[in-house]
Amino acid sequence: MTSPPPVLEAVGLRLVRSGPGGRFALDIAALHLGPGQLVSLQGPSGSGKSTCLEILAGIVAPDAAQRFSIRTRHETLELSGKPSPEVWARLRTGPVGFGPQTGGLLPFLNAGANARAALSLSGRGRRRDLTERFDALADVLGLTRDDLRKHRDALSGGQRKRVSLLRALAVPRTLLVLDEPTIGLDDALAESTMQVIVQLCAAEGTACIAAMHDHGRAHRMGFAPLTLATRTDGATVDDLSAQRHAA
Amino acid sequence: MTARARTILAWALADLARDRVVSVMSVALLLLLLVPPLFLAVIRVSIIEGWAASLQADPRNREVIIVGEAPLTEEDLARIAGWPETGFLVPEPTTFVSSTRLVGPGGPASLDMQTSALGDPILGGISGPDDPDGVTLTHAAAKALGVATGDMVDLTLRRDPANGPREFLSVALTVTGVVPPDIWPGQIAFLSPLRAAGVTEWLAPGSGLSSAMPSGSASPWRSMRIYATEVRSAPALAARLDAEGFDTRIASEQVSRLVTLSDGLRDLMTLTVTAGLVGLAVAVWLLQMLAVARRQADIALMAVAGLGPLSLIGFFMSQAIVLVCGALALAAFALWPMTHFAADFANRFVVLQDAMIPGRLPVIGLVGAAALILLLALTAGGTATWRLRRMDLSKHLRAD
Repeated sequence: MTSPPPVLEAVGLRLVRSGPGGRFALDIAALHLGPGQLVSLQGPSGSGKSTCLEILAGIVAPDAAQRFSIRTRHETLELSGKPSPEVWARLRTGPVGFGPQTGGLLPFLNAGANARAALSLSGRGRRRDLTERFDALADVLGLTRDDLRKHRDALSGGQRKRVSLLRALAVPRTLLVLDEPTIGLDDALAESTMQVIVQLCAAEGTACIAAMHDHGRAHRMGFAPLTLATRTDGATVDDLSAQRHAA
Repeated sequence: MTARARTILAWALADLARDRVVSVMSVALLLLLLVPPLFLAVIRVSIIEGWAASLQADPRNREVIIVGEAPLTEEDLARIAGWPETGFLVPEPTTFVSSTRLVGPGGPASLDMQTSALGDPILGGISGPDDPDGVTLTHAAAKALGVATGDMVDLTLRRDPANGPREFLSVALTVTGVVPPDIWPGQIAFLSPLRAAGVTEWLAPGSGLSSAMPSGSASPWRSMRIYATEVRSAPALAARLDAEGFDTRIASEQVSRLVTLSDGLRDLMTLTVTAGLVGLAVAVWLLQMLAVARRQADIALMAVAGLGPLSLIGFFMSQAIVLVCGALALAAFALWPMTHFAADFANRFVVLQDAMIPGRLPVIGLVGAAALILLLALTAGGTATWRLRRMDLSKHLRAD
């Protein structure tokens, strides 16, 4: 029996940044994520986890890429040729969901409009199945209709984080890239939130890669660890499958 | 409109509404830049051009005044009347009496007299006397004589022969028309040229004429009242008459000065408008630069939500369009009080007698200017936001 083809293939991606703090290089030697696969990106603070996730979500363009592709239900999107930011922006309203660590919300939209951004931009805001899916997700994330009418200033930090997650989950994704999805949430909420993510990925075949400080929770939830191998001048993401093999 | 464009527009409007103080101040700033050239345009069109138009519409400004006298034959008159610059002419006899006595049911009155004929432009469309037995009166003259159109008045003449008793002549004339007071306020009787010539000959010492009609022995015409077809033709008509040996002057010199003033104001307005447009473009550019600079965390979040660089530029351009359109709409509203102020000012201080008709603002020109302003604002806004293409999203995302 053959395993399904990966939804994410990232081979030989390299990003080099020079700044006042010195030179930093991030290499993704090989990363293959299959449908429904859950991966927890681990590494010390400042090792480049967020940068790695931003590369995978198209926020930062790598300087070089041997192979970089995302396979959706209908096609395989080849991304190694440095596609324009416009292409990546459209991907983030469709197959790629990204939840930044800060969980920032746009101040001029209420929570509901923030969370529905991908739905609205992709023109699927009126589809009943997606609307029902959105409402159900809001419920399980503990966001009431009243919460969704509030603006950023009227929401607690935890509510903002959950609205940000809802924005990433609002449309069915092929790949979910989450940077510290439970930061700022209390234990109970963090647990229930992770359960929602895990169940959704399992139900919809979504691959998820998340940076999480709570390795124990990540392990309990079934996230495979992927450690950034740090060097003096940066970090490397080695082949996940190889790591799992060695384990 | 696509869902993406609708969403971007909705977000742009929501952002403007949330930052309403900044939005209102931005519109006010743009309005301040639009108002001075607009006000100057209104002043020029309403007052200067309106005044010039009023003066050009007054036929008296088309008159070429003949100074002094010279014999004029019927052939001369016919030739001059045939010139393309000539709009109307009526001959005047030698030493034409400046006043004479008419008697009507309301009593006698001593009236100024002028020759006139059909088509006389100074009668405001009222028919001039079409035969020697008719007379056209101004409203004040008709009132003094107690007559109306169709009534009879008596023209009474007297002369003192050198060797005989004083002689009198009375000529019955039909009132062929009454000129409204707003056209001609004084007391004047307009006679046909033949009757005026006959009166002149009858009054001449030793003429011995028994009726107030020309004898026909010689041309009675020594001068004429002549008008160009339009004000701008008056100098050419005067020059042509000067070449024929007449001594002339024209009443349209003040109109020429006004036209020169209008041209000068047009140049000034062009400078002001250019400066205003440059200022507006710079203001829009600065506002957009400021918007991009202070909203970088929001821009990064919009990028995360799915707006690419072009969509982000569209977001800011939509806001620029809304702000500029807001300023243009307010400027359009400001036109109403501006034009009324200008017309009121003109009627109170510039034109003392006749109410001035304010010039009409060129709608197409204003719409064209608004379109140009919008285009300029879009160009400036686009230039300011173009750098979004190279924005470091990661840096600003982490700054949230």
